[in-house]
Formats: sequence, structure tokens, C-alpha cells
Amino acid sequence: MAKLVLAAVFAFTLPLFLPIAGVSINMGLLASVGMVVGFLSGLLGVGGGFLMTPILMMIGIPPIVAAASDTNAIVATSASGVAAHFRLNNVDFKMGGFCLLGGLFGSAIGVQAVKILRARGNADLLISVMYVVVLGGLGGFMVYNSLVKLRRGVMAPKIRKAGSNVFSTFLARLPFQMDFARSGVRHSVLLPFVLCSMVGIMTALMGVGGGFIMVPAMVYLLRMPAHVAVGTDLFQILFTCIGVTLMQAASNHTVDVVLALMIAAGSTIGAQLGARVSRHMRGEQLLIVLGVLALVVCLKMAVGIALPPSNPLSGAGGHAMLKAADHNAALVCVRDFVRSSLWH
Amino acid sequence: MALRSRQAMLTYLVLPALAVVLAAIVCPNASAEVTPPVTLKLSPETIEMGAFYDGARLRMEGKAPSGSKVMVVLRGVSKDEVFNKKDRVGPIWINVDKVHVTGPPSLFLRFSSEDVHTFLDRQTIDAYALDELSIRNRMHIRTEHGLRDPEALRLIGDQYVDLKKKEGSYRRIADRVHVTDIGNGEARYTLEIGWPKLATPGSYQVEVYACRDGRIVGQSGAALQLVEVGFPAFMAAAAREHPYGYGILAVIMAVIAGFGIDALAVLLGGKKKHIPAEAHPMPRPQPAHRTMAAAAGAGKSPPLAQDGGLPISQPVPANRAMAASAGASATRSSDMGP
Repeated sequence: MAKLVLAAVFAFTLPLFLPIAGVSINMGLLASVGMVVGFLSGLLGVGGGFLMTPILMMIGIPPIVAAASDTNAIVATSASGVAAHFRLNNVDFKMGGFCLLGGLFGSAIGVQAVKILRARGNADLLISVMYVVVLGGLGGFMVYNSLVKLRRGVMAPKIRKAGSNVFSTFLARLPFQMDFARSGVRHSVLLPFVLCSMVGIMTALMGVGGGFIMVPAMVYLLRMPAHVAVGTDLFQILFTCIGVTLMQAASNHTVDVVLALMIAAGSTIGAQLGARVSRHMRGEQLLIVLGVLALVVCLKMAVGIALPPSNPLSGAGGHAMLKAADHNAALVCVRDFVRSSLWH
Repeated sequence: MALRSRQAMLTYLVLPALAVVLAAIVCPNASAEVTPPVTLKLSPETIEMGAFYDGARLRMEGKAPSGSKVMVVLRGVSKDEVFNKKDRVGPIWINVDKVHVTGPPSLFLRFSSEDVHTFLDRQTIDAYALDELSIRNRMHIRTEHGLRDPEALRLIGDQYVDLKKKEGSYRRIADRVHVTDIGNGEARYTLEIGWPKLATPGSYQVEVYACRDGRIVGQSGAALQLVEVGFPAFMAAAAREHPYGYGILAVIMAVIAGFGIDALAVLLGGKKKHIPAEAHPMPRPQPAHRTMAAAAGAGKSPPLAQDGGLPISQPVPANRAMAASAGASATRSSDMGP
């Protein structure tokens, strides 16, 4: 066993030449980065692209290869996360399917919205403001709401009078009602479809995978348990990223399988750990972590757009989270993918 | 007669002598013809990038005229690049334009035996593009908004160079080339560097300049090839020539890796028991019509669903739902519903 560990440690110190990126990087560095991001992915159901792509760019991977290979790595991470969450009964496949359809539809609309806004010349301004407002508002709400619930502790939750909620009544009267056994809810299929379409529009505008927005939307609006929302979101991310990977490989030739597998080696292990840790955390605690993460990113974005940059020029293939109001290469491919699959 | 002899003397003696004097004045380096040529030996000439490539040592050596200063320049091929340009809009900084840069080398590394500005004048440096300023002056900059102000374009050029310096693609190192006099009017120079491992595959130009008296008196060049070999070459070719197959392979490998690690985790950690209903409850406010139905009173308490959630096909008694909620809160709340 000790020899095995030593061999693994030695292997991690070796350099690895990445054939598509065309650069040499230490294996251990790639796996470690993957593990940290994978942990967050398994714990919170976020794809991790918002963290991974900038980190890869920082260690010398060309932006477009970083974005494409990161998407391929997320396939592995989310597959591992889905498997782990599936064993824990945390994946609602039926809900995930409707969300996936809605997300694709919304992304297609979002793509056109971006196109129109870009033509008018105010897309970047809107996107910057959206980042700060959406992430800040969502993060703040999640943290506040979860803290309130945690403070309430073991006391019985507040029970609302049946029928007192106009929104619930409206939802109950929608057509195509369906049971979602795993989530323990009954909704019209229109609800997850429309909701995920709206999230899809926002993700297309903001250039993020959607985990940040999708998980809270599932929890607060679809009323899914937080753990099931995380598992179901990973299920949806898996399919989205498969599509994007295929599109990137076919159109840009920028998917570096070696890079993706090295990241995936770390991130799948991290995702497993994340999923296991999530079992020992209360839903509120998970949402607090996600909310704090959203607030940190929001703060970074706010600082990024408020302070003058050290250099006004930046690579056009970078990630949106790194550069305020900038769409990443992966998003461009998501748009291309959605556009080609739905409208052509 | 005397006139003829004077004309002959002028034709055959004075004019040639005048020509020699003029040539010596106009071309003071006429003696450079005998200057020994600059040679360059590159070792290796091709750097192979295999699966475990981790950079390489590159040695440049050769002969140069005695007493000359030697400068070695490595250039990557020029390629078009696109950048986002930020500007202030109200209180915030956002991308307002796209900048297309054409002409500058992708890599510019300059090594010399002394600071170049001590032995070359500005004009020569500009003529041979031997520093960042001269590279900036030669690049072509175009913005999508059609910026034409020369001062603004020059500023963008400076920002481009600054970006390249920060990423390490543009570097100048003095006192790195060792020059030793070997007699016969010749000197031997050597330069050994660690080739940057982040440099991408392709062709690079190595140029050697021998400088004396503020001018370049000799130069030589060679091409350095960086080529992928073995597994990386195979993968790069597959990605280029069979993109669809490569994409499908990438997805399959990623999915297998994901499920494989999961299976391994189960194997190492032992198979976890299925989450019992009590440990994973789904208490939540029910939709209005179900709650109302429950309130109407269904006789027998329905069994919990197998997955731990509340039964859906049957109405839920209000007291049961509340009890489940309370129990869930006591153990672990997974209900984030409003």
C-alpha cells in the first residue's frame, strides 16, 4: 500500500504535455485543482466551470482550450456526482428531463437576446449589472433565509393555511399536472419547463453553467429538497456539457482529452467527497455555502467592474467570471450548439 | 600636347585616386568585406514534445567578428489576435470594443552580451525590430468601432506589449550571451537557455546579430522547430482529422472516468445502504388541492413512498405531514421550501 501511495505521489510530480493545449503542466497541479473544484461541484451541484476555467487560464492553458476541456471534465465530474447522488436517492430524472428541455429552450432565446443587445451596443453593461444584481440578490437571499431557518432550529416549521397562498393555488390549477416522486412534489410540467427556460435565458446572458441559479430555483420555486435539487441539477449539467463537448470538438478542435481527464481524475474524487459531505450537512447549511460562494463571486464582479483594470486589454476567449461582462468560449459554443440543434 | 598629357593624368591617376578616397569616406566599412561571417549552430534544431515533455535546454553557439557585441533573438511566428478592450462607462469598467492586432511575433526573447542600447542606435533597433517599441510601431491595430486616433492606437499597442510582457512571451535579458576572443579576428559566443515549456508547437526563428561601432556588422539565422511526437502527436492529429470521433471519444472517456471513480469509491468505501425513509424525508407544504383533500380526511394513513418521499398517488393527512415535518427537522432538514 505504501509503495502504491509513493508511486501515486511520484506520478503526480511528473510533467504532462497536453496535446491540444500544446503546453506542459504538472500532473499533480491539475489533479489538485480538479479536486477542489470537484468538491464544490459534488457538495453544491454547481458545474464548477466558473472556477475551473479561470484557474486553468492562470496556469497557462490557452483560454479557448481551457473552456472546452473544462466542459469535458465537467462531464466526468457530473457523471460521478450524478452516480453518487443517485445512490443517495437525490436525482429526480423526470424533473431533470423537463428542466433540461426548458434550459435548452431558454438558452436559445437567451442567445437571440444577447444578439439583439449586442447589436444595440448595451449587452455588456446589462450583463455586468445582471451579474451583480442576480448573484448578490440570490446569494443574500439564500444566506439570510437559511440562517433564519437554522435559527428556528428544531421547532416545527411554519405551516401555512391551505389555499392561503395565491401562488400555490395558481400553480395547482395549471394544466398537465404530474407527480415528481423523487422530489415529493406535484407540479404542472409547464412549471419546471418555464422556470428552467427563464434560468436558461439568464445563463445564456450571463455565461455561466446555471448551477448557481438552477439549484436555488429548484429549491425555492419548484420546492424540491436541496439535496435532490443538487443531484438533479448535476444530471442536467451532465447532458448540457456532453452537448457542448461534442460541439467544441467538432467545430473548434479545442477539447484536450488529456487535460480533461487529469482534471476529471481530481474532480471526480472531489465530487465524491463533496456528495458525501453533503449528506452530513443540513439543507440550510448547503444553501448558506452556495449563497456565500455566490456573494463572493458577486463581490469579485462588483470590484472588477468598479475598479480600473491594470490593463484594459484582455484575451477575447476568457471566462465571464474573470472578466466582467465578457462571455466565455464555452458559452459561445453552448449558443452555437443550441442554435444548431433547435433552430437549424 | 601638354594639355593631352594633363587630361591623361587626370583620367588615369587623379580620378581613380579620388574615387578611392570618396569610397573610403562614404563606405568606411569597406574593410568589413574581410570581416569573418557570423555563424550559428543550434542544438537541438528540433525540440520533440512527447507525453512527458517538460521544456528543453537550448544551446546556441557560433563565431562572430572579434570585438563585436552579440545579440540573439528568438521570434515566434506572427499571428492575428483579438482582445476585448475595457473602458469606463459611468461608474463601471466594461468591455466596450474589440481590438484586432496583426503583425507582432507570438514570442520575442532577446538575449545579449550587454544592454543593447549601449551598442546600437535607435534607428538600427527600429530597422531590425529588436525591441518592443519597434515591434509596437510595426503592428497593425484595428478596432471594431473604427478607432482612428493615432495616439489612442499607440496606447493600445503599449497595452498589448505590456500584456505580452506579463505573460512572459516578450522578454529581454542582457549579460546572458558569453563572448570569448579566439584570435584571427574571431570570437566565439555561446548562449544556453531553458526553452519556455509553455511555448506552443510550431516554427520559431533564431537570429544572431554581431554589432560593432553602433551598427550591425553581421548576422545569421536558423529555424527552431517544436513538434509533437508520440501520443500527443496522435491525439492532436485525431482532434484535427476526426473531430466528431474525437468528440465522442472525449465524452465516452469522461463518462467512464466519472462512473469509474464512483464505482471505485463504492468499492473502497463499502456499499452504502439505501437511504431509509426516515433519514431522507420530504416534508413540505403540499399544493393547495392536496392539502385540502387531506383536510377532508382520508381514513387510513397512507404508507410512505419507497424512496422516502410522501406518497403522491394518495391524499396526505394533514397531521401526518406535520409529524413528518417535525421529525425531519429533528434529524435533518432537507426541506428548503418556502
